[in-house]
Amino acid sequence: MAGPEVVAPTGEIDEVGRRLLPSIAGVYAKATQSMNAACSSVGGPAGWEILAFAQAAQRMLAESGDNSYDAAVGLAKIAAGYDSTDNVNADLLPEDPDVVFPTPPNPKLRTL
Amino acid sequence: MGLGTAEVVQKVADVKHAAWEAWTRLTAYTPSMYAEDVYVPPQWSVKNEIESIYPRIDAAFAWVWSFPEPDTYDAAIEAVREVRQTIVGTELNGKVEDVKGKLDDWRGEGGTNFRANFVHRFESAIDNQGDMLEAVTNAYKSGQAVTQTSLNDAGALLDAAWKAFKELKSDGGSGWGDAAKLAFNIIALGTGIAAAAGTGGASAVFALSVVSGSTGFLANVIPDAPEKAPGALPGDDPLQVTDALVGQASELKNASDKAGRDLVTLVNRDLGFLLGHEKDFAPTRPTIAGA
Repeated sequence: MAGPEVVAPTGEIDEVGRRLLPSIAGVYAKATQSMNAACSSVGGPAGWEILAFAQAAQRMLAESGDNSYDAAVGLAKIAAGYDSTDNVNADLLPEDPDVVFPTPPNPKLRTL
Repeated sequence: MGLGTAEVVQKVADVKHAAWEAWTRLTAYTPSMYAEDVYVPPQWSVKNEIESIYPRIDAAFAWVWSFPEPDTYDAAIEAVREVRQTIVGTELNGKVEDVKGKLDDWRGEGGTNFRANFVHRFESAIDNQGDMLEAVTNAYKSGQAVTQTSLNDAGALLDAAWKAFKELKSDGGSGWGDAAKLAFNIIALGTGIAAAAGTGGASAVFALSVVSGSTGFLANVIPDAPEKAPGALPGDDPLQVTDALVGQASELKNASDKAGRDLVTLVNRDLGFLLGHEKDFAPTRPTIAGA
């Protein structure tokens, strides 16, 4: 099934999909890891809910990172001439942002 | 900086020791006691009564141990501060600007969606995330302030108790008066007439005293709020001092609990807002990604 059409210079799509967006995802991934450290370093009396607050913030940062990386995957596939939902070879995916993503990658989008 | 729990633990031990010293000092033999033929030497049962003060003092400050060490908040506050700086700083904004700069001539359904639902939402998401992280930082700071002020106030109260016990003296030549009062109070304690504040009520002695020093813990949610030491402990014998100490400790506990509840209200309000507007805090994953 054909995905949404993107009409733009292939070089630009490739640059955004394989470098810029993964880099943004990397910023969020690192921020999420730091938030995880903040969550685990202090508790507080039961019911203070500070931890739940920090965890909610962490989840939203992680979501931004995942959304950025998933968008990058879609663009990288398009730049390589595939549909955004196609399975592609690993070397066509965005460059590794060198971080461990805090939430599981979307298996549909990141399947090789 | 303020007190840590270990220091408050030591103060509790010091106060118990000072209480013991005060009891032994006031029940000591004086020649006038024999002269007036009213003195009854302390019995072992008296010693047991005296030692009943210890668990009351321990129980009065048990709530302190439910707090984490205030210093442990520092790392969390610093971590969230750094995260916020990363999100609202120039690095991330610069990357988003780079992406936006590429998009001017992008066309097609996917391009439109990518621009509208993802990239253009990023800037407001970053702003909201900055606010969110500031709120988290403030929550940690408030938790630290409540914890620290609670410990500081407990420490000040214990200092006042230590001083009061140290200053308790028999009245010299007519020491039998003190001894008689002590005997009465010991009996009262043993029979429960002097209700322990630690069990929920204030003793008659405590009720007649003025507790003016219970810190307004509402101020605790404001970082760096000025500290206010508890008022002087009334009493002219160890039981009265103990009653007042236990009562004021109970007041501090209640005030601390209230500050904790106020903090919960604040945090839950922000948390509720966060969860109610979740879509505003992260850019939408564009259908270009193949959803």
